[in-house]
Amino acid sequence: MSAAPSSCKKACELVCGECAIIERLERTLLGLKLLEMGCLPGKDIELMRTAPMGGPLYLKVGAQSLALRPEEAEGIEVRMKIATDK
Amino acid sequence: MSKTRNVIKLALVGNPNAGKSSVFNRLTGLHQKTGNYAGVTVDKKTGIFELTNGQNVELLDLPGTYSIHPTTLDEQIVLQTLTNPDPAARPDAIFYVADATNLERHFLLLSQIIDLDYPIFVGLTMPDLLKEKNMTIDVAAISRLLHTPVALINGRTGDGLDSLKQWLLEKERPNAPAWLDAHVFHRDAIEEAKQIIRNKNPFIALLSLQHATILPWMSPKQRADLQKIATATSFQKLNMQVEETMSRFDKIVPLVQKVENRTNEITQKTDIDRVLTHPFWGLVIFIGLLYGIFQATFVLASYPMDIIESVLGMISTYIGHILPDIWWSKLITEGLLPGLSGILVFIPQIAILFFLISLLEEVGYMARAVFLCDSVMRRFGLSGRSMVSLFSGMACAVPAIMATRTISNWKERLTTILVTPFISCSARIPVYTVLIAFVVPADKKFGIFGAQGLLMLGLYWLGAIMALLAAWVLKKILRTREVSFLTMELPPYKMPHWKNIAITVYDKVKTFVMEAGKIILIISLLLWVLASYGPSQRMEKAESSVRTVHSIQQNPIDSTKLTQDIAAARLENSYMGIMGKTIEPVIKPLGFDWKIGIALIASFAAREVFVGTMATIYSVGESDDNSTLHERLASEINPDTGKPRFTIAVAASLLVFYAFAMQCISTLAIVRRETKTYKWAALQFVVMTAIAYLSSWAVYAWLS
Repeated sequence: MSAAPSSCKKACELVCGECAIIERLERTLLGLKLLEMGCLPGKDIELMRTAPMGGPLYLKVGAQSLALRPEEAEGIEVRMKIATDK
Repeated sequence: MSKTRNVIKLALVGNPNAGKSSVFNRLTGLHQKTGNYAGVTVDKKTGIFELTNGQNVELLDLPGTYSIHPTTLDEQIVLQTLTNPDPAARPDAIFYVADATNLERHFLLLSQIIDLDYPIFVGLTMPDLLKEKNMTIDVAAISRLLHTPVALINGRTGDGLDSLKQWLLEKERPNAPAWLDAHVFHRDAIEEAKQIIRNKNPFIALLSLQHATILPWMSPKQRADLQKIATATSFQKLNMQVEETMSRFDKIVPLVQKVENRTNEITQKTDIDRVLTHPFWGLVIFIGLLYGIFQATFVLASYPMDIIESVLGMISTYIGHILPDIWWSKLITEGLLPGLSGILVFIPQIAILFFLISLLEEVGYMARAVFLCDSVMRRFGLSGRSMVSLFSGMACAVPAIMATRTISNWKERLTTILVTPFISCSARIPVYTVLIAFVVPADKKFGIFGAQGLLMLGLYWLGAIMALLAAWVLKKILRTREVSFLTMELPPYKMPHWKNIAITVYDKVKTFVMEAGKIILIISLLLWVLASYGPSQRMEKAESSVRTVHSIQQNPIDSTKLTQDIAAARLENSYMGIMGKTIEPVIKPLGFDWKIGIALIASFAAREVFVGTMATIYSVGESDDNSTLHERLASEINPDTGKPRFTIAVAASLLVFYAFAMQCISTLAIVRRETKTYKWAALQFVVMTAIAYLSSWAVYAWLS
């Protein structure tokens, strides 16, 4: 893993079980679709699973679960939550 | 306001997975009908229910969408219907259905609908889930803040629907006040657009500017004018939509915070998904489920299929006895009844398969299957959603192709439509069953598996692999700039609503009977004519020569044998026989003779007609018994070689031909309708037939 200087990354770069907050969505048709489906900036986003062979990501956004292709999740910029000990 | 018709037109609107169909089914029961929207192939579902005062309400089930701005064909309908200024086309009121546990997202579309100036009743579904999650919402406060009537409703039990009916009884149903003033997004452009569409509503003006090209109610002049304004004011469609959506959420989020209490919320367990979406175990379970469904369908369907066949056989014999011996009674017993039987016999399989598919859909599993398959499917230019169609194709390609409408990307949808008929449908089974016996003997086994069963399975795989291969080739050929989305909700698992499943099954069977059945019947009648008549006196001459041969050879005359031989001779000299002989040179390289040629032509009604036609050609008589047909075919001698006609090579070649060839007029008709051009149906026919021809030729050459 590369050591990113900022705590911001794209949703497709999350690893399974990682939790973050949606920072912003790209201004494209896809970004609009995601917004319409409730991916609002400020919402919690957690990567639950990835499908086999580079398949879609299973993301939990707020209270709902979404399946997004990796390149679709690229349109979501997220901010990592400050690490807390489990 | 005294309209001549005493019907309130109510539109049912909501997000996908809002529980709309349960509410629709609960309200209308079986008083539903499916039509088409003018010019497009989206199902228009309407139903009727009655109020206590006898007033009828026509409920229009609009497709589920997250927003008024559409991305799929289905979603366009919502925009087109609700912005239509024509009072005959637009609904009188709207019943908005929203998931009570996810108000925030469900209120986006609601806020847009509110701005379209309609009287709206808001139904909040899934009250049981609300309890399960231990969260509460303040229904009265929601009603107060939205200025619309709001009620908790339960699609399963029908609780809460009375308040909707009560509302519909009221004399006055005021429009909900506007949610936001759309002028703020682009005052100048909107003012001008309002003039052009002659509508004071700023949001409708905004939508007209954004979506002029897909709004059928506009005149070409209006459309052109709107586009001029959009260019002149450098109106940015996408930006505007994002702005609008954001400002709506700016109001929705605080509103929802006021009315819902999630402090004690129990987050739903996702344990099941840990297994079901697991990269390895999830796939194993998925494939296991496929096999299970496949097996269940065939085993369960075989009983009702036998009953249908024998009952129709009995009816046919009975009618044959009581009707006078003239041409139209033959038309009934040999054309109409077998045609009907060919339709009815597939109903059990179609019903069972769609029962299982919609069960998976209802419990929420189908979205997981799409999730798991998407990456594999995309390599072949398909979408994860294509899975559902390919799967349905095992029953019948007609409803399967109609199920592609949920695929938003045109290229993915077209590819799915074009390759679905490669999947072995139920009409191929009888053909496979007869022919497989010539390739491997019944008692041959591989380990615990019977060799015949394995070959049958192999044919299904052959079809599926060819479907993927064809899709892969199409991926290389078809070009599109359209982006492909998956972006799909994974709905929480829930208990199925049996009523929804029952209605889906009923719908699919009806589609099959009305769409495919109609064509099967017409073709059956046509084929009967072709098989019963021939040029001038040819058939009569053939008949008398058979009689002469019989009277010389046998004494006393074997009357059954005579009748069968006459039928065969007549068929040989009918138009159909002539067609079979005409194509013989073409199909000879595949190992087929003119008799098989006749069966191939007859198969255009539905593939299983092959079996009946072979029985007639080989004068097996009326018996539908496969073993008789098998014996007769096995004893058929090829005059060129002096050896049996049905060698392994010929049977295998025929099997491959039936697996790949496009021999179903009903499917072609549906493809034409769904793609709106003859081009794709014609291409599909030519390419599939060519693949079938070449593969059969290769198999025959290899095995003989």
